[in-house]
Amino acid sequence: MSKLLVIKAVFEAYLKAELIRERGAIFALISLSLWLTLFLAPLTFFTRETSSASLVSGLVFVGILIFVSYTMASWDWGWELRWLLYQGILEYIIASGRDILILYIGIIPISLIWLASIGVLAYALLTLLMGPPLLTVVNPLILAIGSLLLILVLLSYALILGGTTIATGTSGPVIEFISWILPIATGGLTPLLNLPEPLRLFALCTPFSYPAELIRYALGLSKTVMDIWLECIVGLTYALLFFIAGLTYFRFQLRKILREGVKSVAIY
Amino acid sequence: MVLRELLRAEMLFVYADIFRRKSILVMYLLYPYILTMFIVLLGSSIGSYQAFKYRLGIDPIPFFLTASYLVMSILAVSDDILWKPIHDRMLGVLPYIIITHVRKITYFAIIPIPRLILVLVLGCFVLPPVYVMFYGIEGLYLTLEVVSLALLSSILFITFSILLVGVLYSLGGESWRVLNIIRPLLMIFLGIYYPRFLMPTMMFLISSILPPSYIIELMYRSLLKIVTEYSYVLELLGIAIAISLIYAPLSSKAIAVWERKKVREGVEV
Repeated sequence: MSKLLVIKAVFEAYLKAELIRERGAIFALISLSLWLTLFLAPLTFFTRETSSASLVSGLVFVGILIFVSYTMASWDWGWELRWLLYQGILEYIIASGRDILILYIGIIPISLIWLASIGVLAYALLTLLMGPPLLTVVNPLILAIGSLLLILVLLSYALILGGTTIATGTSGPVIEFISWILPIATGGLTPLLNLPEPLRLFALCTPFSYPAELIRYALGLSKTVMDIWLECIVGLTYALLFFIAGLTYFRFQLRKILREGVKSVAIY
Repeated sequence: MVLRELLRAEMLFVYADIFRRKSILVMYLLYPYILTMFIVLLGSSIGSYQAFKYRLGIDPIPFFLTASYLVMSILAVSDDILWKPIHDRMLGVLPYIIITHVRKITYFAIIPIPRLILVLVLGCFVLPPVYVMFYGIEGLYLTLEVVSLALLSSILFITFSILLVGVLYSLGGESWRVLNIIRPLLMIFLGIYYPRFLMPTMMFLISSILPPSYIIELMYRSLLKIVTEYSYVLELLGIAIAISLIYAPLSSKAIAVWERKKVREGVEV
């Protein structure tokens, strides 16, 4: 079976299981829109009477998309390995001699379809609750760099999380904690300029803050804390190093479980 | 005797899991803070902390910490009851539970009790640091008040949650997908993050069928220092208790219907 056929098979399997079977996509989108409404409604208490509703809505929109991207990396990519382990599928993938990473090429399009659907849904909800989000691309090049960095950083993060998960039996609550705290603490939700000084410094020490800052800048939603090109260079270097580290760590952990076996396969 | 044994079994089951896997316990304690940080940081970045204070007359941190604690308290009851048949089915034990001699209404009523005790503990650990920082020694009294009201609202939610299990699962089987819609819907109508008295009329009316919504309204009136007459406080408490009691026979009936359906049609494992 060629690699392309394997990727197609993985894509079809996940498409059916996640989005089509039992109207999964419809139920999930309704659920998500309700959760978003629950958390977005109280945000209206923070708005200033003088501030532009569209700008506020735009900031929330980008915040939601970045938050969902982190969640996607945590659960769809990192936790998925644990789930495969629990279901006894991972062993078959390893035994087939295929690279586990081939699985991700099949899963990533599903995640992107999901992300796009959430984007449309969040846009509609925000238009209803606050006003249409202001989304003007003021610098397409920076937007492209920011998006590329975001994908790279999230993949690296998922590799580290996935590697740790299969090697140590990390449990669901730990992943939940990471997937909540990471976007909060690293400037995923809010522009770094609005963060308290210690948190801003912490965010800058992580590779996560750079893509978020670049995307917000490119959409004209906020300024960056450093010169924009310096931010690009630092962000790109950091993301590449993070990716190399993630891949190396993942391969190391994979070899380790082949040697020692997995630690725990409890459901959650 | 049956009650005591059921309670003991349920406590062993819940506490063993929580104390064996400390990450669950830590996450349970951290969740109210994480949710508060999430909303306050996002809110502050799109608007201002002061605008919130001006609108509601309270600092957002104690407001959202209380709300997030309430989410955990209410979910402790509703999640335990609503998810139980699904978990039992997934683990393959639902057929055994169906054939036991224990009345199912008793079984479901016992399920949330261990979690309710955790709600108490959670409140006593999570709320005082922030309340004392914002309100001084008065924060300790406020903790007592909020924890008591959260406990009451959780207890009053038991009958409605059982009714929901009976109706939902009798009609459409045990579906976690439907539950994922029901859970946020309940949180919205209970007025947890957006107080009930600020809701549009239609939403306000729907929220009136949920017993805890009255208690939560009472809690927010106290937190926002809204002058409330003593008779109105009693009225809210009375309505909440009365509605919850009205749901009791209905929930018993609904669970019996669900049980009969399972006996008739069998359990999918």
